[in-house]
Amino acid sequence: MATTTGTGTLQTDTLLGRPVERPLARTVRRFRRHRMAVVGLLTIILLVILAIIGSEQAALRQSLAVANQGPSEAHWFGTDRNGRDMLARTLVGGRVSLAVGLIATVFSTLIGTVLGALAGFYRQADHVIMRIVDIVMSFPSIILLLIAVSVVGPGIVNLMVMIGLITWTIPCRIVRGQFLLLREADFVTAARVVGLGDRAIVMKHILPNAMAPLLVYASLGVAGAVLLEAGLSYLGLGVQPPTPSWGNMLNAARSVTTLERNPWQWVPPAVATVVFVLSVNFVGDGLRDALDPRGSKER
Amino acid sequence: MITYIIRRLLIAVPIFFGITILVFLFLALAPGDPVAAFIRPELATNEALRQSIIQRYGLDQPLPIRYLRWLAEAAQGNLGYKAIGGLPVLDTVARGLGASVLLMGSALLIGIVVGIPLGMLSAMRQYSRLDYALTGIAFLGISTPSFMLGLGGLYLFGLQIRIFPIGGMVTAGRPFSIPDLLAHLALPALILGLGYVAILMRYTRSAMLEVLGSLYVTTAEAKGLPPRVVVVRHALRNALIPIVTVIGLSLRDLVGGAVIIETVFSWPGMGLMMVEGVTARDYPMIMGLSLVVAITVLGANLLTDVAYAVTDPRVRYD
Amino acid sequence: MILSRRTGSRTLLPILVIFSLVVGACASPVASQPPTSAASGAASVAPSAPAGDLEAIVPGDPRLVPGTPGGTFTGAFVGPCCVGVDNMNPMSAGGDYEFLHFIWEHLVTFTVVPDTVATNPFSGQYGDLVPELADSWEVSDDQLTWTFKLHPGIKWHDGTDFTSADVKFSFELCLDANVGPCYPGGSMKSIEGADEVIDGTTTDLVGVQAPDPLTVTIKTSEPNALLPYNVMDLFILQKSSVEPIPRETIEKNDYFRTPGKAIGTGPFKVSAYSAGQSMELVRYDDYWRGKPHLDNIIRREFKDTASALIAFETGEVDYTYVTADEVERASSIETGTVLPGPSGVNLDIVLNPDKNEDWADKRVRQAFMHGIDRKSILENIYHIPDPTLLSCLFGDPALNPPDVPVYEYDPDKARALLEEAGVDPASWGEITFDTYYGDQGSLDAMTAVQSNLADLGITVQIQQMDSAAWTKRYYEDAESEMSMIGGDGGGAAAGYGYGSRHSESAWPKGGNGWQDYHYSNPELDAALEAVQVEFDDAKRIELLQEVCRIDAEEQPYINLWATTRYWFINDRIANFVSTPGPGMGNYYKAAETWHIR
Repeated sequence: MATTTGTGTLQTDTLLGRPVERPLARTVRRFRRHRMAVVGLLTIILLVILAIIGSEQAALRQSLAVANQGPSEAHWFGTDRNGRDMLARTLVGGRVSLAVGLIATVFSTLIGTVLGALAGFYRQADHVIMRIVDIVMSFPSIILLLIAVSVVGPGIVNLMVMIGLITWTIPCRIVRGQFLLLREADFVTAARVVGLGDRAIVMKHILPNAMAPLLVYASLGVAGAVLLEAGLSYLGLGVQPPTPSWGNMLNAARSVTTLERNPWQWVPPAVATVVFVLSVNFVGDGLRDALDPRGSKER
Repeated sequence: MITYIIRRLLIAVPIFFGITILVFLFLALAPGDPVAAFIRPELATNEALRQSIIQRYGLDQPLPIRYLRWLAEAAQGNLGYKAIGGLPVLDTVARGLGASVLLMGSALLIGIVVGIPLGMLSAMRQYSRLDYALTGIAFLGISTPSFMLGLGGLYLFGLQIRIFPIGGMVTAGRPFSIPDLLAHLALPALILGLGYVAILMRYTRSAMLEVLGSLYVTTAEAKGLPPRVVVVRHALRNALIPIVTVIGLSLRDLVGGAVIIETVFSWPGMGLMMVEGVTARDYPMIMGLSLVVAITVLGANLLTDVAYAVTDPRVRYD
Repeated sequence: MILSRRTGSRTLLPILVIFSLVVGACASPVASQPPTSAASGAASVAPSAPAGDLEAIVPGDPRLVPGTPGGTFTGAFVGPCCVGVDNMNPMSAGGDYEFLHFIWEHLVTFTVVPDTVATNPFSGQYGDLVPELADSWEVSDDQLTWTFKLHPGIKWHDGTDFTSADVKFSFELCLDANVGPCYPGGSMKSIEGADEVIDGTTTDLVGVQAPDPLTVTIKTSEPNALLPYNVMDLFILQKSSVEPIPRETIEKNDYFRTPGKAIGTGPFKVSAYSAGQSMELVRYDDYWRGKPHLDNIIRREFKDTASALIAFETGEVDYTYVTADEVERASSIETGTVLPGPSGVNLDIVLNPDKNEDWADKRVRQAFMHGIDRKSILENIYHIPDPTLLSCLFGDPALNPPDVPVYEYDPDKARALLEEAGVDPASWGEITFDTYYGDQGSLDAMTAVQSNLADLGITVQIQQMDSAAWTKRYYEDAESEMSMIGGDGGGAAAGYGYGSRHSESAWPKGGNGWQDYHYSNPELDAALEAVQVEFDDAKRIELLQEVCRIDAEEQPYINLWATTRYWFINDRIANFVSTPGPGMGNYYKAAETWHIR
């Protein structure tokens, strides 16, 4: 708890005279104790680095004569249908997939959390926001996407925004559900008695307790966003050929021949996606444990 | 509670109409129209053809008129006719609804029956090998594109090991039988079920972990209750809110979630119908499908909110 | 909540234009090959033989082996040809004609000239016209009146007689705007009185008369040598059962899908229908060409060609479509034979001169032809060994003049042409290369084209689009810069290129160009018109060569390649004749002789 004096917040917190860790430091410490979470975080960083250093030139250079060839000295992961190097494409494909996966989900989570918190905390806001959620959930998203493409144009940034605008209802209802419950909890009543304002109650007491399912959503959402990016390219959203993404590389595998005979064309992007999503999940686990106000099973 | 439900039902009506208006409006805003969808570049363009389509859809009428005409017809139970094939929309949507509910419902059921217990198990054995194994499998399920799971499933269990039939709801040319339907349902439902298992397992695990560490449980343990009782009676009840939320959100999938699986398995569900309808700018179909979706969403959200209050009496809406 | 890509392959509705191999009135006689006996199903892709070497398959052909009655044929009519089992209205179907042809028939139809050397099943290319409901046809001396003699003794599925009144009725119905779209109607403009029926002045088509029950006369406003091709795609419906249905409601009526209601003259009739899932046909015992062998034909709905292929492998379906990338693996499946054939659709690149005046110069378009390595694309992406490259819109070598310019892959020549035309591609900036195609094969090809063009200094950005949005952009808004389309394959029904290249066919009247723009070349116009009125088949070939020569020189649509499609048939079905052909699926398929070996 920060104590304020006329000159501003004190640098150190004290409770009963003993120094207490600031929340951020405590979170980081507990996160670092969580082995898999650290592994996950490092993996994501590694994927990002690999994506950056991957050779764009090699990923785009076509050589039709060597199309559909298996792993060889020249091409460690083989070639794809246009004779492009699969290793380079997998690395470079990470740029799009990592970006879309993370940013679209962060965007969706942000909107959903803010609106869900408002809805869960304030009754009047609940009525209005939930009706908006009803409408958005009922709406056929493809129509929205078609209009979006025609109005703001194609491209990956627009795609990230669109995914966010379509999926925010999920974290919204999740967060709201948590808030409805926690709003009535004893420690909230206690906090009010003490005189804490709404914002403090929400930020310091309710939100940390509501984080858990939100973090689960985040990891599931990342997986969905990566796959969604490829699924929408036929509408003109997402990246267009020849730009690689794990999603559109997987889409190219949509034939029995590729599944059965050319595994090198789909296994690398599939593995990359799973590793990425798993890493996000473990980071989420770690965050949940780290933010848990009740203390965690430290590992 | 009763007043709350009544109030919600009352407000659902204008929201419902609002949704239909918005869908109609946005569809009109989408680039292209039914004429564009009919006129393919390879087909010889024909002014008479274009005019006949324009007239048929009343595309030369102003938007409000077109909406009101649709509304008037819909009120009388006539939802119009599909663009391709001329089938009545009402019949088509009804059939799609049946197919979708059967498929998605089975999948959701699998998810609930298998996913929740596994999630509980995962939580109680947090960070054990079992936990990691289940986590790994769960994420494998949701990170793999559905067409791969579908095609792969057909390839492995339909072709290499001939357990399942390939595609469709029933065997064509044979009289209808429940075992036949189930045989066709099994593989797509299992694949989709895998996705729900993954989702519900994760949320349950997370919710359980929250609660297992909480004071209620510590108190119960201190009271000397055996672990299983602790879990089921105390932990689960408190953990239910997020699980209920997720199940409630999944109800929307009952009316149109699994487009790719429907495509791969030729399962005539609403998901694919909506995509095909939008591609063809088929107003009657899209409006008909949206009606069902709107009712489902409004109903599901209301049900979920009521379920919150029932599960945990501390939740209050007024 | 997960939105996903609809299907892999873009559904291409077959075009009105049919790739036609005009071999002249007398096909050169070839020693008839003895049919093979029941084969063990040796797997193969039908090897290609030079076109014209083998005789067309006609009714009563000795190569069609005899067999015992019985059995069920199950087909997955899926892929570019087809829309779905619900699509049963022969007028507005826009696809699925291969299937509709089991139930309803045409006045005349194409034969298939096999590429395989006497192997049963047969596939190949379109041959010449043969009689179907009409036994013979001839034109009057003034070249305006065609007389079609109908085959006597044909009965509808309900046992009543087929007469010329049914034919006249079918024409009138198709041209009536109230019945909704009727695609064959687009080719009937030359019939006298057509315009009056189209605009609703009358329901009586004066140009078509039925002087006696077995004779139909068709009068054209001007001499039209291609009239039999223009009318061939019309399915003949039964007047007595269709006429009572109010015209505006025909499209919504379940007549065409319902057992007992749908009446045709074809070898099979509708017996059971499960909406969205399957359509079953049963043998029509009194079919006029003889009692069909098969008991039933079942059409199963598939939305995805890959799953249909798996169903083929398990034996659940006997017939399906395979994409080019699956052909190699399919060929190794022992139970079936892959049947390739021309699609009748040419892949074209269209440049919009209004967006960049440099593109109005034909040398620029020629540069594209030289600058794209079409051979490599066809070999490596479409897996076509030893492909022939298009010079003009006609893929048939017989319609290409001997001195037609050949556009080999030659980037240096391409650059030289650009220089000669005085254009600098760098000044063009980044060009949006749009398409409605969504299938992987087309995207791979476009990517290869993009790479080739980059070598010339031309930068294009591929842009996939939803097809309705694309149509609006290309046709109505005229906003496209460079597009990849499935274009006119030069078939007879659409006038050997008339519908896409003649200035009279300006959009929206015809398929030439888009809003406020159409391609106009008086020399080509004259050549196209000459073809229309040349009644001598041999002379017409010369005129078509002239059209080809001009088209190859001008490249109004950059003729990349003619797409090939592949069907896949289970070898247990004997006498199967097919071509994956385009528009209207209108060919003699010998369905009444199909049987299980």
